[in-house]
Amino acid sequence: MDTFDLTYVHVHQLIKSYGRQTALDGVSLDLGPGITGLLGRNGAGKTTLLRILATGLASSSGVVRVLGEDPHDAAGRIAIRRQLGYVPQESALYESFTPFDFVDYVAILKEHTDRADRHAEVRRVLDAVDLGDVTRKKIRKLSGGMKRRVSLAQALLGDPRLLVLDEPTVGLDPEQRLRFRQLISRHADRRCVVLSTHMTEDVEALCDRVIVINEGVVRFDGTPVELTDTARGNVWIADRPDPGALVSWRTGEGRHRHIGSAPADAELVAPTLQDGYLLLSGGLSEEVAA
Amino acid sequence: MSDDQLVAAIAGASNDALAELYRRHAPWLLARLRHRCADDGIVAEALQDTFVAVWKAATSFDGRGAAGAWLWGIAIRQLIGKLRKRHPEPMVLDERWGRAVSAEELVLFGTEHGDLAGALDRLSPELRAVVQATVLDGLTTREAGHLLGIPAGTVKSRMTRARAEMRGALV
Amino acid sequence: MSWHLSPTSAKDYIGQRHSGSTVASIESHLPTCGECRRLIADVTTAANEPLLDQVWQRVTIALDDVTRPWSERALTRVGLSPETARLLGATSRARLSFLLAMLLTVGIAIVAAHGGRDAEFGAFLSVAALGPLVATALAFGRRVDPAHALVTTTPTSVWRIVLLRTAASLIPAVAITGLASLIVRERGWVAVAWLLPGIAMAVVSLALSIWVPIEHAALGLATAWIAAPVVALRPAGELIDTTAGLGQLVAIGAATLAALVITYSRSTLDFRET
Repeated sequence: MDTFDLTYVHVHQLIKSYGRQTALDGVSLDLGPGITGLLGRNGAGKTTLLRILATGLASSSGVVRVLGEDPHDAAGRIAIRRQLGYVPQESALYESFTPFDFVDYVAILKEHTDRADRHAEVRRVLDAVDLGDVTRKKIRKLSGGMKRRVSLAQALLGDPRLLVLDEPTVGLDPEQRLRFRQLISRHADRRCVVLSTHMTEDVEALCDRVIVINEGVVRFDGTPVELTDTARGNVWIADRPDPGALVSWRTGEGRHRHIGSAPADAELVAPTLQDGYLLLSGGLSEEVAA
Repeated sequence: MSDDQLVAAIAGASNDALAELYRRHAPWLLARLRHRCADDGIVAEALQDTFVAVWKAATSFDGRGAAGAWLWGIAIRQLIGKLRKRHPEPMVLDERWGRAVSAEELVLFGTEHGDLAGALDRLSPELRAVVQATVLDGLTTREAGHLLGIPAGTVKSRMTRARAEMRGALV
Repeated sequence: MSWHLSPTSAKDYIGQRHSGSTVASIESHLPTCGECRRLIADVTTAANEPLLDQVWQRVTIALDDVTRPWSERALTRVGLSPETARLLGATSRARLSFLLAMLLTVGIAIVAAHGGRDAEFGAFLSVAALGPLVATALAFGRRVDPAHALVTTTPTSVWRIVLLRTAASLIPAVAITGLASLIVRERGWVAVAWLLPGIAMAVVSLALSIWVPIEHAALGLATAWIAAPVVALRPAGELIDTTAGLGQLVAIGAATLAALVITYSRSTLDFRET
């Protein structure tokens, strides 16, 4: 296997605009095997990037190669789709179907033609996401976390080489999130997983690599440890609140944690990945801070 | 979880509950069905259809009787359904023969005590099969006929003979 | 009951070595005694594990069919493969409500047309021609298909799904309006004059869906269709009269053009700018 085979995704100077609005403004990245996490605010361009990688959206300009194929080419698109698992952001299910019916439906679309084999594969992926008990329950009777897992199950069909997951952990409770991490880390061996999330814990626990996107531009691309390190020397604990800090909050121990320049009488503490992310994205966005 | 709770969970479309019910009950149902039919292929089919039927019928299980008896009722009728395909319809039946077994018969054939057991063992195999089908399995005369592959009229007459012989043995 | 089976006795029961009366007493005991059932179960399972596993596998497979939605089972009964039925079943609700609405609308139109006046008959023709268009719009669209984002990123050609679903709503829609035309057949061939323009609009909307969402395309066409007789100051029946020919020729032309467009650019149906 030459090195090219290990580049699952190659994106160079990717631009995507909707009318006058620019969603992605010159994104370049290469993804190999392992798990990459996309961090960023709502509207930062994460979903747009993932939709382009999943062949659901055309780019405006730039180079996109997924699994060595060009999604702008009809044949290339089909070749990508044969090795792709995709969880779109919005939970897209037929409520009157059962999880079995729904995943079977996607399996038919994914060209699993032999019925017995297909049904066995459907059961396998539903078991993998711990839905074995409810495969024959109507989807409308399932909880939000279960519905999310149905979406995840269909993405695992056929053990795809590339897994594109748009906010897969939304709606999962802490235990389900742990199970999700186990499942994905098992899958990521010699495959490429790219996921977007709001939760820095997910990135910390799961990803080999983290990419921070802000306003359509890649702000950071490196390991989670490197992202944490960007905040080293900028995180402080003090007894009083500091109005000058980028972000500042009162911790459970009654002291105040600050990110930014040093306030008076403060001691330097070890940063977390979240600190690095907050510092990089310039603190809280205005709507949240207001 | 009790059997009743399992059936209730099956009514709520739980696969795990069906798997557990199968684990608990399929073995003895298999053993018992084999006492009724020597063809393992037919027995396996009947057992399969029993649990498919349980999935469909779980919502109508009222929990008043024992789940074990309910399951056997389904299983034996599935077996009869299979056997019926083999044997043609025995004959047109009089509905009076389709009545349930009387309390007297249950006592008469309550087989835990020595003499009665001896009397049952002394019955000819044909008569014993009829007693087994109607009293133990709770089948109607018509169903017993299908199970044993004999006309319902014969079931009825053999039952009369069995009753007489056993009464005689007890005196 | 006060007694329980011994392991030896259980083995003899499984091996069918007991006398009739012992079998009888064991069997009258079993349905009510969990403990003895467990014993029998353990002994039977040990000797019959492969058979029990095999039967369980078959139960699982049989249940896949039992739990199939009725709409899919109806489709397989008319000869479709279970796979095709499932592709159609996914959005069957939207189509079902459409067909019901269609029945109602056509019913009202027939009542109006029976009044015999030209204006009402024109209304019937207009409504009937919209049937195929709406049927097509419902076959595929982001609003109609909640899994649209997923469906368009699978290797199956979106075009195939569109055709399947369009056929599934088009055939009953045309059948309903066709029957309705029989009821007003005293008008002669004019009563089915809606058919060609209706199908033409359906094909044109599919062609337009390459550039705009199909819902928008259908809405635009429907508006134009309703407005045409008003703008031309002539009754709808006259515009699309089968015997007059011009309206029908326009319809054939538009449908052919749209079909050509689709043939050349259908591979982009699943790959959009927005």
